[in-house]
Amino acid sequence: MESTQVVIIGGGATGAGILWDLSLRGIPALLLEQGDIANGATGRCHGLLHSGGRYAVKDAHAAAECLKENLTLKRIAAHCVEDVGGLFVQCAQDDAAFFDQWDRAADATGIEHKFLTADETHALEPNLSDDVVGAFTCPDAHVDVFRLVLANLEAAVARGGHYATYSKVTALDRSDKGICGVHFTNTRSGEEHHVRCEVVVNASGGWAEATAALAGIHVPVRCDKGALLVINHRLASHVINRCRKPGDGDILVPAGPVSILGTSSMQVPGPEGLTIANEEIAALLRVGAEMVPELADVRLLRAFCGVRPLYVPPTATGSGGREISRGYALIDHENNDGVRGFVSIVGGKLTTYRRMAEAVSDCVAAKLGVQGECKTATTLLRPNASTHHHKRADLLPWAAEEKLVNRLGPNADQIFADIKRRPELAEIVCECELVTRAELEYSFSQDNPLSAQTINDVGRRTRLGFGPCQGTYCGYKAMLAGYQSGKWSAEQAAREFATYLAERWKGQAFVQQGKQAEQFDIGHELYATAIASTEKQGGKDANSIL
Amino acid sequence: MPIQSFDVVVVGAGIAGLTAAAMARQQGFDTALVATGPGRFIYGAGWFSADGNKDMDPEALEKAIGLFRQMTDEADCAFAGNLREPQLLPTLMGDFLPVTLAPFTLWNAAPSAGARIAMVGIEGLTGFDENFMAERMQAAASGLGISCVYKARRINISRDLGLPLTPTRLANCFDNDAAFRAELAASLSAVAGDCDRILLPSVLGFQSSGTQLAQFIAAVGTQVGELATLPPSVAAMRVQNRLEHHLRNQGVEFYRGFPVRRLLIENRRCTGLEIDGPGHGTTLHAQRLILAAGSANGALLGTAEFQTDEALHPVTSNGALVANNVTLATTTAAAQHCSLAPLLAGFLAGSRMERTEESYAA
Repeated sequence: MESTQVVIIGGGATGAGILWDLSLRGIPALLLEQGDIANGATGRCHGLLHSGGRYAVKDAHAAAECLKENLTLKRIAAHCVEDVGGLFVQCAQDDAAFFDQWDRAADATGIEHKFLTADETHALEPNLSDDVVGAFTCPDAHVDVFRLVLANLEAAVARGGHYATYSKVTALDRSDKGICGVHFTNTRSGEEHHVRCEVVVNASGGWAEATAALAGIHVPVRCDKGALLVINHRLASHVINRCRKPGDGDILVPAGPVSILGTSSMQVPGPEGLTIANEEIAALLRVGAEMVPELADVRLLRAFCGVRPLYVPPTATGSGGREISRGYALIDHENNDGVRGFVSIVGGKLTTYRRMAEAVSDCVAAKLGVQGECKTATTLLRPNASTHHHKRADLLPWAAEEKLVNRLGPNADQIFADIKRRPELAEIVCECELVTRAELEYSFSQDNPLSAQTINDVGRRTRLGFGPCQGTYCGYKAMLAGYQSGKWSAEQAAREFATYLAERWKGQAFVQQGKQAEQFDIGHELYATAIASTEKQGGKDANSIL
Repeated sequence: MPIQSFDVVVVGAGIAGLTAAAMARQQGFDTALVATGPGRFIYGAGWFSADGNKDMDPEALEKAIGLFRQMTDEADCAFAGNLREPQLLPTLMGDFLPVTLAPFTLWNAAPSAGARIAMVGIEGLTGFDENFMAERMQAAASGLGISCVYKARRINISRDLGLPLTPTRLANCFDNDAAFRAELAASLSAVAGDCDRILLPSVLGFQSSGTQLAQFIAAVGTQVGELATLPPSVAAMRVQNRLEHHLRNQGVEFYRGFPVRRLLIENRRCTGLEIDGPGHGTTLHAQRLILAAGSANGALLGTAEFQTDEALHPVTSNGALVANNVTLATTTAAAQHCSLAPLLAGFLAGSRMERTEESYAA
């Protein structure tokens, strides 16, 4: 592609949302992402679709915005949302005044909520501690972040939008009219590209400061690290929030077959090279166990962390990460810095990504002189999703078929047709998450507009390798599928696999205890020597892979 | 609660436990082996890699290997190899790894100068790709300066074994169906062409003896080598099964699938242990107990913090002896990733028995 009108930098929820919004307005746009989709904060969070309850007391504006978007997303992205509902629970040692304050604030914001006695709460959530004295319900939900980003991209591509993953922006062209082109490098092949454009949108979250620096502009972003733990089953059927002043380890989200507990909050210099300390994990579990005692003795699959890219307005003082507003800021650098054709969108939350995309797209459309309103609040991301009633195809075990239909919606028909033609595609490759060979092959297929480039990409598209075995068994088969698709040589496939295992093991290495430690051992027993053998002959340490 | 009495009870059926039990039985002790399942060995390829072995006492290791070779010969699952000359064997990534000891079918997969090697895949077996393996091993061999040629070939299994085909299904078929073995030998023979060796994923039975495998290879008419697969590793399971079978024949009493409830320790002496039977518990009285349960040893002793004294008895972190007739077959933290470490641990625990007996008599 030689030219387009708008280049969006960043393939998180916000960037994908902007691509969809612009595409819906008929504005040609290209999204560039340095890694795979949802590489930054989007892919490294709870996946909590906030009802606003979390902010009701502190930040009424943010709360109201969350609530509005929560209700909108449940409608337009129904297939990405599991509407589990949430509870704000009060433990005996918590401040009762805050509980009442929350009640009034929720009323003021318009968050639908109902008081539950201790008995009623335990009837709903038997795993909650006996110390829980009461709770409020709220419309919190879980959103599958990978599916959400894919849904936006899929919808955008159908409307003529373009995107490229593993494309790192290296320079911005500037003329007297402002930013007019983007240079980027494919991080996998090393190929360099250039595209002319009229407007560049900086939606790169934790990397926004670095992206703006390419235009010689300072956009102050504070990176606030949050660590989260993945627990191997659903400990609760609702999102469980601690009803007190927001702190560490006080949200537990049932996310598909697992639960996610988080988070910590800690200022870090940047979005990369993050690690998690044992004490952080212990602290999360200790606080979490006050609400759900079972957390003291659960099987942890892995730990991960991401950064909240918080915008620090020039007037803000140096207070802690939780004090800075969760609101977003749209910066038109023409007004702020005298640089035309460049806007940055920073701060904000996953829940409000669509609203942020709308604000950006309104601004961009005005710059380009394009008329028309934002339609993303009323247009379904998957048009047939609500009307598509799937009839059982009887080609797969029931649970696998249900998951497949859920993941692919109307596109599932194509997969079933493939399985009918080639019965061997019914193989369940990932037994933890019930991913079929048909989906695995489709992930790598050139016909797939959202084609995977790495084994981890397949995981983000299908959940392959996300379950208890963490890719020990299915990762190898996924590598062979990538090789068989013609995408990789044998040597490259082996390298891809080594990278994949290193990533899977990294998250597990943080939480080596109990059953998962045994699982980890098996993975090592299987591959550590095998993968490292060539390197080792060159004198490198076997564990260098970690 | 029913009571049984033994001279020696071994806990753990990994390489350490099997070795220790074999040694106890060899010395004429009335021996029982208690285990919930197999050990870690079956998750690996079925061999002992050379990695890290140089950090262990070579004299003891030589003796342990000698004993193991004798034991596997008797069990008709002969191993090849020795401590001084590691052999390069292909991993499931198509790399070569130096290996000290391996069952001879795996040993046959070593590269050799001038060899023409058929890399055989099986239609429907998705966890193995002969093209990937041939491409990788060709590159790895050239990297090592070994001038052999790998050619990818594929065979079909005529009978319907269901999809996807797994090494487990094929191995069960191999064990139970002579016609299948004959067909497989004929298919391999047919694709061998001008090659002087055939490599295929390890599917040649969970039970097959070395004698049977040699007969199979004779029927193929070309040398056959097996390759490591994803778990369960057929070659490793075969070793496990052959050794257990052999120990049973030697008179070792097996309590397989029975978790240990607790050790019975009084006055620094272990009188036995309680195990969970189906529907009821059982007490096993023992003169001596060998703990070879790997990372579960700590849980059995009721403390994660324990060490061993010179006689391999467990002592608590503040130096107190737990029991003077309990011997630990454990690997040190440093040796944890040495594949021969469990063998050495089992050997050392097994060879401490006579000495300890004298101390009990006194």
